[in-house]
Amino acid sequence: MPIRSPAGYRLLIVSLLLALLLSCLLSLGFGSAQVALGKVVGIVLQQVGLGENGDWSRGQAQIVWQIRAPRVLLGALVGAGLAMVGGALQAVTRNPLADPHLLGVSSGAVFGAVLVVLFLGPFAGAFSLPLAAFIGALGSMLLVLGVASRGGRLESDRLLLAGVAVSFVVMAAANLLLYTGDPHAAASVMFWMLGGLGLAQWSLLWLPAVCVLAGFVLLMSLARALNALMSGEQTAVSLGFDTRRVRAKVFVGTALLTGVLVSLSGAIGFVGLMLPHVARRLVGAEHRRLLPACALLGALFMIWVDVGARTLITPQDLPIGIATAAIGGLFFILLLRRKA
Amino acid sequence: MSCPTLHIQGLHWSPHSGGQPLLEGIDLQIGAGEFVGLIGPNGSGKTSLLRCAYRFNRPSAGQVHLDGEDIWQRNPRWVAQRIAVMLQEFPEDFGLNVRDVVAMGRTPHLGWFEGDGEPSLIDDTLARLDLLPRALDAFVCLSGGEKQRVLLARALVQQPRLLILDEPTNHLDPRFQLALLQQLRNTGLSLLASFHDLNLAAAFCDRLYVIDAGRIVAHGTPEHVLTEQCLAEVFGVQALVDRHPLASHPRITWISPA
Repeated sequence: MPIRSPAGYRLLIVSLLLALLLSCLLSLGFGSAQVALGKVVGIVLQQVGLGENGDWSRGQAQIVWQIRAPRVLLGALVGAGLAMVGGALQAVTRNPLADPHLLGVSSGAVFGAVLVVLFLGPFAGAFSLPLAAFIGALGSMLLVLGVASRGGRLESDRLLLAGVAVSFVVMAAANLLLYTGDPHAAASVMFWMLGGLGLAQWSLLWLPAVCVLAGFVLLMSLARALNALMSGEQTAVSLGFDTRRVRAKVFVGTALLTGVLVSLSGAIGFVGLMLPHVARRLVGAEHRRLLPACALLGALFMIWVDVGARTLITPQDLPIGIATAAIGGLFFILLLRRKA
Repeated sequence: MSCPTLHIQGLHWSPHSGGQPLLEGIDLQIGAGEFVGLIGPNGSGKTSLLRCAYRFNRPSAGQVHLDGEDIWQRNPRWVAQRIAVMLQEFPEDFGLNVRDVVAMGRTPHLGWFEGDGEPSLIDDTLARLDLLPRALDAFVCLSGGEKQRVLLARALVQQPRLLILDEPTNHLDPRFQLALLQQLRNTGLSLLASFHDLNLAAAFCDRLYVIDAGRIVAHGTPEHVLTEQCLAEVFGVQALVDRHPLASHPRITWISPA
């Protein structure tokens, strides 16, 4: 039963925010080298200029601040972004199975990464792979939008089909290149296929942060339109929405955001599909309430899944996409069984 | 005479540009506070015509004027501030509650980041339609009659001048059919509704338009329009038309072919 009263909703959002803050701190301690919470807090305070040196080693400070902190923040941003995008896409397409990867961006990102690894080499230094993944994501997204639009009009059912079709073709091309190419290349490309947060670094965090924030503002400004479109095309028009324009804004905005996220973290599945359903159960389907809940739950979920991913098979990193897919699938089965 | 609320003149519409028109030369007028019914067989173009009236279908020729202004010279929001539509389109799987659905009616009057505004209007409307106790229930859990009342509430909080309804009495028990139509009459709004049940149309409408194969073939008061000859020509069924025993409007009795 969704939360009914506005006071209950505010309480939930505040609790989620606190939980998110706490999770960010707690999760910094986990990994192949465990760091106690007291030290983590000390290191963070020192780094933001509020504390003194403590009894931690330089190595610990390095791990917590330089490696884990950006990773936790990237995870939170990616989770928030994907969950929010999934919620919005499910509404505009009126399809509860829609998810951020539906627009073909993930296969495009893999294809871009394959091209760099096999042929182009590091053309832009450390940023080559993310950059190529983004260009690939953008390309395949434009292809999907191009195939789906007819007479300047984007229709949801055509978009879903075009997304699936283009994804298969682009993925086939990427797989063909991989199969015929250098076997070592497959390992570096696997990252985009399975998803991971290992690329996180402070110098790159501003990009997803700005994009997720912009995406949130865009989708919140369209929240009423999303409510109306969820009820149907006729309803949306009769409530005064230019449905073509709303759809175009949602599709292009979410595709761009997904493209940025995928280029940094690979194709992390199931977050965008599953979290909106969880959020709807908590706060209902009204988008002004749903989208913030989606973002917070997505961030929380991703932080803790990533903790699992980096502690489960230490010292190795489990690709986070494997964990999200496994948890997501099991969760859905549970939901189905409980409903029945 | 003052300017009609809705005035459709010489309207043609086809689903694909340059294609065969499905609506041809439609002329239709609705005065202030008038209840106008649209009747015709399946596939005659009732729904298409209603969609033209609320700026969904763009006519290939002719005009649709609302309060003297061409609706295609205005944006969808302007139209939605003046025309509300009650459809058979429900938000099913997603779980909006009753109040959410009704509050959506305020949409055309609000800015992007504005709150719902005037909660009293929404609550009063819910109360007027006996929906207040169900305000926080999920829309999907309601009965068909309650869903229709919720959609009516949404249309009313939209505070329109004209309310358009596509088969509003479908799927409703007789009691709810009569209650809904009575509630509609009581709103005092200009109303345009399509009907399957001609007896309901006869009982509640001030005037009827008969549409057949995309053309208006008759219009006028129910007594004037609902003749045995017209029904035979348009619906292809023999009928006996007499006066309703308790009221002044005509009563139709279909005669099934032996």
